[in-house]
Amino acid sequence: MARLKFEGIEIEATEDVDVLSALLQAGANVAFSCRIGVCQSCMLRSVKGDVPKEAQTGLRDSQISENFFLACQCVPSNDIEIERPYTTQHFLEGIVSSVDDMADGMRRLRIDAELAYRAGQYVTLWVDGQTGHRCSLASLPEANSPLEFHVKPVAGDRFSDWVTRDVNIGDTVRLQGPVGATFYVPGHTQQPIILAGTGSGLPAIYGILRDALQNAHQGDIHFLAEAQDEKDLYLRSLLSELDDGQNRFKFHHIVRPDLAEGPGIYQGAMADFIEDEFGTLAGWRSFICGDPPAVERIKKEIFLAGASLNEIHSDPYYQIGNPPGHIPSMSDSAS
Amino acid sequence: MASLYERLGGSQSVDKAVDIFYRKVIMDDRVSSFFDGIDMLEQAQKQKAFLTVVMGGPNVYTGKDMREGHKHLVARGLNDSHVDAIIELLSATLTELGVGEAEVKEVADLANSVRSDVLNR
Repeated sequence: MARLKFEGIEIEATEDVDVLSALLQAGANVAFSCRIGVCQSCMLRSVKGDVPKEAQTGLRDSQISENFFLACQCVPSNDIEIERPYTTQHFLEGIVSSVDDMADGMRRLRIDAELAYRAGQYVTLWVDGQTGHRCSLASLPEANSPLEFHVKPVAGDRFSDWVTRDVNIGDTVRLQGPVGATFYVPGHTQQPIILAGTGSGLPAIYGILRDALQNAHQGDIHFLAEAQDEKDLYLRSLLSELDDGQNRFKFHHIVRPDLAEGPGIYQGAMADFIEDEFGTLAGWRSFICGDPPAVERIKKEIFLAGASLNEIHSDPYYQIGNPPGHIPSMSDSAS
Repeated sequence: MASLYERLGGSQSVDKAVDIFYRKVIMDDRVSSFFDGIDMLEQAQKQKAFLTVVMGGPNVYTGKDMREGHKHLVARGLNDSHVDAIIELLSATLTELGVGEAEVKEVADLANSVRSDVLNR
């Protein structure tokens, strides 16, 4: 007999009963529709305990690697602890360990925290009760290595003011998350990869690139950074440092004609660049991070260039943060 | 006889069909505006469910789902001409996948049978 834990309730699931039925019977509020494993409305996540493979049919590699499953197809043979997917109610404390200037007016913030995450995911950083900012992780989850964030200062923004002026080493911040399903999953090592990012998504794309390189990905990797202003060119030096001379990846900056010129810089639209450089993207895996309207546009461009929807990894616009008036405190900690 | 869904190879072949079908839909001026500004990957999951049903796979919809799911689009002007266009694109997708004429018609008829639910009539 399997025991199920979900949002404060504990159930003994009788044999042959699926998780969805068991949860509903116990009065849990879980979304569902088809109950035959197609619509994915009842997708949940196991944070402890294995789920049967049949319960993951049709899910993406990234979801499978995070133990997502379809509750209606899941008849567990062991105990599992269940959460809703993409939950944002995990809070953690971190300590600012360094802050410095990067190229092109960007700021780099490093934070020590025991966060389990994947390169490319994001967290909301709360620097006081009211000021939270969604930041993607540029670091790799290695032991004893700080979390790294790249922040573009914006005039009149409270988080920007904090990161450019008010922050001190040793400050305590609160992290909410991590969230996001856009990350590298090892496997298919010969498959060509496109990493496309704009604005706030560039650090995430940089993290995913490092992850793919660390996993010895063999296929071509192209890094496409769409720059809206000079600050968005800041990764040039970091990318050059990553380049070990073995041509393991290529990077391209896509810019408006008046912004910049030089090697690796393409003046024009992302869609035109894709067509000129690659022709078709059939068979490619792609990762897209950044500002939602740009992400939707680039997703469409990559799809129309021939990529399969299953191979396009990009976060739907999950709302992260707290309802107005709610100030996160340690008592919110869910784990 | 096994359904078209089973004969084409089940879930994986539907993924392929969704790629072709969705590409046609967003490139077709008659219907593409209904798909603007929504998350493509979430929408693809809905299309997968739709194609599964019309290809004779397990049925996941009730008339109520169809009505609720399209109400906001009817308010934006969704009408018979758009349903016609979708069925035409669906048929072209199946033809491209090598499905025979008679079966394409069967699928089109099935899709047609939910027309009044979709249009909230």
